[in-house]
Amino acid sequence: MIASSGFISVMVSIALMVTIIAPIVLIILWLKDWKKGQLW
Amino acid sequence: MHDAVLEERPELLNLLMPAAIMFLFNNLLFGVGEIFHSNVWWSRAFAFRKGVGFKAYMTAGIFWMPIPIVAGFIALATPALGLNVPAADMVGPMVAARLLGFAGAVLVFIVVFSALASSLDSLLAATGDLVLQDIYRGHLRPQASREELRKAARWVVLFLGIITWLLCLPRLTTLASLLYFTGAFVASTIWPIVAGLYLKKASSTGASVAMLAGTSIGLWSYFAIGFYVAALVSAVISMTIVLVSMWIKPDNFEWVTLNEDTKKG
Repeated sequence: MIASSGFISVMVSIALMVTIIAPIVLIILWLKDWKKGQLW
Repeated sequence: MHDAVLEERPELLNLLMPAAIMFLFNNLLFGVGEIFHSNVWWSRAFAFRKGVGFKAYMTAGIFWMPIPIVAGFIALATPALGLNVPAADMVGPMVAARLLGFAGAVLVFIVVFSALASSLDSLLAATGDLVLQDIYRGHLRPQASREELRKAARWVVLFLGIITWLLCLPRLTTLASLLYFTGAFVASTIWPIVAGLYLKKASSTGASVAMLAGTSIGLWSYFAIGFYVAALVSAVISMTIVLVSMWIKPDNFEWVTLNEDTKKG
């Protein structure tokens, strides 16, 4: 079973998406806890 | 890029390549074993506020997901870029240098160095804590005050750092080879810990034999079969021994035996 170029594109797109979303989510979580006075 | 890999190294795109599948599960078990046995994770789990652990580990797991995908993608780029890679751990820096030039190579060096420094820092802190609590306070000076422990912690971390540095001096192996080698040790701890936490019938003898046999046979398979099976074999052997020992000679473990307050009383 050979991986197609489409499969590789999808995997790389997911990786890119998570990489871009990660810092945004971390900042949102940080802000939420900071507002509550509970940083973790 | 896909065409170049398909033409030059088609097996790299084979999703059912036996060695690759074994390596996938080997790495998976290595990762699980790392979390189960390492005090880096336990010390953080103990420090969490109630309800934070699951959220923190889940978020970290999802955010870690792109790393193997990107690492694989970078490796697949080598045939298309016409790079001749002399060692497996040089793929990333070489691709970065080719695509991003000198500045890219420096940037990748900084990223890799920071990642290693961060891991080393966590490992020193976690191992230092283990030595301090289990050996220094546990056996050598049970009555040690907090101030004494704080001072001893500095010396323990310094001692561990120097030992680590000395071990690295002869350059016995690469980081990747060492990780695969330690897979046999790490994966043998998964089942003894799971059974120890959740199953009353698990025995200490069974867990010890499972870890010893799992590590020994895992190391044998590392040399006899290949680097990609050490953790896999180790986990299977260790699991079998834990389960068989529970069936042959079941224990009746009580958590209260570990309670230090009860012991003192």
